[in-house]
Parts: sequence; C-alpha cells; structure tokens
Amino acid sequence: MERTPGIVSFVFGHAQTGALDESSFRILYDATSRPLRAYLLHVCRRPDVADDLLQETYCRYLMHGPNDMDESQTRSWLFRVATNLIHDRARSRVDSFVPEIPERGQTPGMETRLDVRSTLRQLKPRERELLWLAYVEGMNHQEIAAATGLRALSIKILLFRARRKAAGLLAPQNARQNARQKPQKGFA
Amino acid sequence: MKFARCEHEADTSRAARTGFWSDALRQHAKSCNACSEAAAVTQALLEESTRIRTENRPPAAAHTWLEARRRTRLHLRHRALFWFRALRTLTLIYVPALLIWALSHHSAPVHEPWKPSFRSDFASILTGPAVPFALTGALLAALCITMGSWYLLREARTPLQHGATR
Repeated sequence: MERTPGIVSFVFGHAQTGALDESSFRILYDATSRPLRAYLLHVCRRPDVADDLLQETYCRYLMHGPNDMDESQTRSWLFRVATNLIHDRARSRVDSFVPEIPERGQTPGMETRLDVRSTLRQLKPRERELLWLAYVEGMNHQEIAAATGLRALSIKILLFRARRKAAGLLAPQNARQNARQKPQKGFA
Repeated sequence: MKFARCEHEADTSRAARTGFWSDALRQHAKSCNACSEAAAVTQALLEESTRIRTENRPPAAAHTWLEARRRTRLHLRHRALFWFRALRTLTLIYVPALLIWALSHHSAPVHEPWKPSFRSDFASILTGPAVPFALTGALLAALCITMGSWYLLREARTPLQHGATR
C-alpha cells in the first residue's frame, strides 16, 4: 500500500532511489509497464496523459515504494498508485476541455476495432477500471478492491453492473459482426 | 436490476483470456447468461488491450529512471533546505537575544568608569542563567548543520547519469 508521509519521514526523508539499481528497475519496468500503460490508456483515453501518469507511478515507486514486496504485491501497488493518479487528475479537471488525441496507428478502415473502442468508451471511467482489472488483468475482488480503494463487497455489484452495461453495448455490434460473417443469400 | 451471477464466471473469463476452453465450460458458457456476457466483455477488452499494446510502446525505462533520480535530488535538496532554514530562524532568534544579553550584562553605571575584566566576565558566562539557553542554541545549530550537510552529501551521491541499460 502507498505510504503516507508522516513527520518522521518528513524530518529524515525517505527518498530511496538507491535501494533499487537501474538494471533491476529495468527488469521490473519491462515486465509491468505495458499492462499498466494499457490500463491507463484505456481508462483516461489520452496517450500523453497515460505516459505522464505511467512515469509518475514509477517515480513514486522508486522514491516511496516499500522495499519488501513480492512480484504480485508490486503489481498491485503500481495499479493502486496509477488508479489514484487517474482519480486525482479527474478531480483536478485538468483534461476537461482538452480534446482527445488520436493514438498512433489509428487509420480509417478499422471499423470493427473502432466500433469496439467507441463502445467501450461509452462506459464511465470507474466501470472501465473495474472491467479492465477483472477481465484483462484477471484480478479477483480483493485485488481489485486494493487497487481501486473500494470495498470488496461493493466490487461484486459494481462489476456486475459494469459487465451488464458493457455486454448491452456490445450486443448490437456482435450481432452486426456475426451478420457480416454469414454468407449473404441474394448475391449467390 | 436482477443480480445474476455464476460461480463459473471467473473460469469463463480466464478461458477467454488464455484460449483454453474445456468442453464442459464451453457448453456452460453458451447456456449461462452471466458467463456468455463475461466471455463477450473479456473478448472485447482483450482486443482493445492487444491493440493498445501493439500500437503504443511505453516510454523507455531509462527516461523514467533519470526522472526519478532528478526528483530524488530535488527531494534531498528540499530536506537540506529545511534544516538550513531552521538554522537561519535559530540565528534570527539568537543574535538579538545575544545582543540584548550582552548589552544588559555589560552596562555599567554612568558614574563609574567601565573596567573590563576578562576573568570575571568569563566566570559569569559559565555560571550565569544564559548557559542552558546558549547551549541549547549551539546544539540546535550543530544538529541543523549536520542534518543539512547529510542531505547535501546524499544529493551529491545521487548522480544524474545511468549505466548501459538504455
């Protein structure tokens, strides 16, 4: 969990970049940065913001992250900090009037992908967070609760609602996709 | 809204993620509403995840490392400044106090010429009521200097460079 700086840490400081050497950090970064960036990009929808938040997350890990964490705890810690940063940014409303920047590689003619993307973007950020952590990262309710700061009991119902909403939004698109795949009778 | 949940939902999602479906689970997912929804949502999210991961690369680790080093140095400098500012405050308190004390201690009556006597002055300083005050000030000043210097030394030992792991 993220430590809150108290008077002791204020007086004596707790910057600990020296605790992890660069090669160890690179191994950790290579293992965790892609899923974390994908999560950030999925929730906040802006590549520049996602990169900023990713860097901020790892800087906080290097400066304030607890040393005695195993791999899964580190992953949880990183997702939790990233989620908190997304919420902080949303609260500060920095991006309220900034238009969404198109991502690299986005070209016309990718109808299906864009359909999925635009469909998923109709979900609220909190719903996107929950669905991503549950279905892409494969986290259980306890882990999601730790990452989002919600109660584990709330996760169950919130996740159910988000899944139901996403399935409802995806249903017409899946039907269209199935129709495209079927042979069209009148043109045979 | 009816709260429908299935105990196989997590298994279905895992199977959709990994691609390893057992026959029983596949049959179940077709008939179960919750599991079919979970499979559809997982599939859509995985497509999005694959797209994001292939189209976008995260920034290089070296950049983040250097940024963290830069912030650490700033952080240490802030800590050092905290102690040196405390020392400045201490000086602002002690210098006027010292002046007041010196003026009151050495003020001689107007009708008597002032005769400096080093021995008597020194003895009164060592035994006077100002001793604990002065000692406390000296100790605090030493503490501030030590802590501030320690942070500055730590800052100096955090170079803004990295090895060959670019």
